Amino acid sequence: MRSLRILGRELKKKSRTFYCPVCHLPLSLDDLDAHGYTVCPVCSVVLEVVMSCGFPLPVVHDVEIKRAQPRLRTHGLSTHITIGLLPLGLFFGALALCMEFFAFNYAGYMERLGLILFSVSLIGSFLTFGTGFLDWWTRYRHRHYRQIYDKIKLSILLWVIGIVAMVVRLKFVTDGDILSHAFVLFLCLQGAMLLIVGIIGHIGGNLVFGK
Amino acid sequence: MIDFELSKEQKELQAVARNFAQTEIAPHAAEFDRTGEFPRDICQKAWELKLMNNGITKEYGGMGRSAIEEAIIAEEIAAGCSGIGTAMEANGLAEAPLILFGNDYHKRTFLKPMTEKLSFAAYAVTEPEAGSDVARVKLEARKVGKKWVLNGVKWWITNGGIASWYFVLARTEKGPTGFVVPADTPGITRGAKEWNMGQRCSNTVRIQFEDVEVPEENLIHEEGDGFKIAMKTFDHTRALVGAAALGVARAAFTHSLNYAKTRKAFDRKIITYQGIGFKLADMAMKIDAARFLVWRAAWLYDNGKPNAKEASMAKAFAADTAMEAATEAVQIFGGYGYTNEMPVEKLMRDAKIYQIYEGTCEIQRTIIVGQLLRGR
Repeated sequence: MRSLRILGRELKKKSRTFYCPVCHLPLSLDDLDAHGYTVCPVCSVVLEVVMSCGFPLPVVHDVEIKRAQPRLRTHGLSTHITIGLLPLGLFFGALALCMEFFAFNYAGYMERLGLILFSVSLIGSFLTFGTGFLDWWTRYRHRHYRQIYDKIKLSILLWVIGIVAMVVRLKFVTDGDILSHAFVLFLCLQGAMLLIVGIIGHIGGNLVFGK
Repeated sequence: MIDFELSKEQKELQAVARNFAQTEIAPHAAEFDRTGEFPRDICQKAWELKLMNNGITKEYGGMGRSAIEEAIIAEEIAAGCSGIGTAMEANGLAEAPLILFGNDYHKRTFLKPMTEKLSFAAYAVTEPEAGSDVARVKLEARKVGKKWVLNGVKWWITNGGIASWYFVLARTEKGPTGFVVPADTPGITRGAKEWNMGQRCSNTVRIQFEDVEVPEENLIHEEGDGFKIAMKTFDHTRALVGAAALGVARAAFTHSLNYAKTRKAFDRKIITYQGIGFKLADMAMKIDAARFLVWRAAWLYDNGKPNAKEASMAKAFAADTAMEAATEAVQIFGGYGYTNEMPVEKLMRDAKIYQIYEGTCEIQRTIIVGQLLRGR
């Protein structure tokens, strides 16, 4: 546990974190422009950051009051719909695996239902990414924010795992062989996607509600 | 001859300590303050860079640094985080009695291992009813055969919970007497960590001694010499505590200056207002004055001259300066200074202890007056 804390501290040091003095969102020195300025993505204060004895001092200069939260939260809506389907798809897939042992006749239906939900979720994730990207471009004025870059990187990882999962399911789970290793791998990959979605959601939550 | 310049080696040492404080300490200062976790990993890095156990002589594996050099390190480290600084520097306080009055056995058994592996020691003098009045310690040491048996309690012992040995001031028939006691001796119970106002990551605990048997060779110098040992130790360490207070004052000043040069009010940078500018000017004056007092006290010590008055002057003035600078820094930062997102709030909490530990500012003034009365 102590080693993990030390590792966490080292990572934090590398990411050069400081906190917005108004909404307490963790920001990075890498987010600053060439003049040392940034705008907090949550509370919209304009910060100039000066280094002082090794401490970043975020000095508030202004507030961008025009950049309020949008009325139509397309990114939030599309995100929650697709995220909601992913665990359901995994649930029905796992249920199908169990039913192979005691309700064999219905296992195939469950598996197909799980696959459909997973497919919709995967396709939906592209829409989610698009709306998120649009938000970044408009609401956040495509400024450099570590959190948004992290979300983009994790989204790409999510797609890669999703596409691999789909290939595994369509190519290697032949004749709906639910007990095959390939199907278990398919479920594991969905589990990994769920974990990544959780992390992306956590970062996104921070960007909306602050720390 | 008077020289206000540091030597090339001293400047290099200052650069190493400053870089360590800014890259390894400052980024974690707020976290350690919040969690109160003892900064062992940072101490490990400092130990590897030889920024700890500075007073141990080369003969016993140490660096044998002068008090001036120790003061330079203490100031830089405290500017990063005085809590972490205290965790690092408390070893020096415990080691000083052994360096000054210990024999070869004490130094080989207790000091040498400190230079071979990161370990900690604690100076166990304060008791619940004897803080400023050191001579009144009640922890009893009774001679039984070839051993001493210790009974009593020590209170607010910095690094007490993680130390591998203690310098203990105990009362014998001949008065206060110094002992070095391994921490794993049966009968020693360490209390829980105290949650203090500032310097929260330093480890401060109560230590209970119940029939603790100490070999007679662990007695430091002569029986009844404990008060003299404690006072001579303070002549050395008070200048260093003053240096650490100076580090806090300097950090408060630097943050304030940077903030005042950046923050605007009424369309002007706030440094352009006299109310703020004069505060900064006062801080700069007092910090320089404190530094010269600290360096003079350390220089006198290094040259084997009496420095009790000068060490007290340095400690008291630097401590008052740290508190004043930190308070003014919070004022300059305004509302932001009062939040824990800015470093000055922590500085204000950290600074207060310098007016209290290793002799309160009132005790320092008492010492100064006592010295003046003796014509020193």
